[in-house]
Amino acid sequence: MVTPKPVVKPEPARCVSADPLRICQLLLSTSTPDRLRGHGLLGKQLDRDMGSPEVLYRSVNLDADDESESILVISDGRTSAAYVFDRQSGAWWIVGEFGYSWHWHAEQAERFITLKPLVSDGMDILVRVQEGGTNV
Amino acid sequence: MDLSIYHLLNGRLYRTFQTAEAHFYDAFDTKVSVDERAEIEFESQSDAGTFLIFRRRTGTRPKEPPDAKATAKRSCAAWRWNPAQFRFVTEPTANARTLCASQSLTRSRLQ
Repeated sequence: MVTPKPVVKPEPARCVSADPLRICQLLLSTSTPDRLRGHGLLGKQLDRDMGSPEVLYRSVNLDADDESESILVISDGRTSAAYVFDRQSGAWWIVGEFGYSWHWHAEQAERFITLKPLVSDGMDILVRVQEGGTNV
Repeated sequence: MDLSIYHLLNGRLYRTFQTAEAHFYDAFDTKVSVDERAEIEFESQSDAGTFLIFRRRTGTRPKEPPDAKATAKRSCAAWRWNPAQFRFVTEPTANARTLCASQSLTRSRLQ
């Protein structure tokens, strides 16, 4: 068994003060203050309510341990954002976040985040985004 | 369209692969437009390792004259999962050729 020593830096990580399911519930709430609080917990301080977004919550095992991680994918019809959560020492951390807004398209947004078991131990996360240039 | 692959290790998320799946370039100051498309296949061989096979088609069309014909080139490359580096690394040309030429039933498209 090879001990991995990654040669690339990991994605930035930050602790969040609520679990991902609670954040999902807040974002889907009919209450504007709740929705704003949900966005705030994700680090987005919105100055006005953008309405109810479409939120996809997935609990999935991404690594070797037995505990499941969570993924939230949030779309508002113009942009999509995805957050990968991992629970460590009793606290939830956002260990990866991705955005898709350049030439946002609903059909493409469905392929923004996909999961596949490519290498051992858990699932791989495939992220597809448009990076500048012309529209393909 | 850019594709990145990430995997979680010890509570941190690492990018293990990145490429452009589709790319169109038609700047006003160039003499050609370029349209690149790639198909990526995944294959896990129990003895030889885990691979990504990358088939690219690059179409080039001159802007002048207006009826200029487009040309297309095809290329193929392969990446192997390197568990020590925790990323996919370029496979040497000789084995990449073999992988590109072969058709395996265990291979699947990365969609």
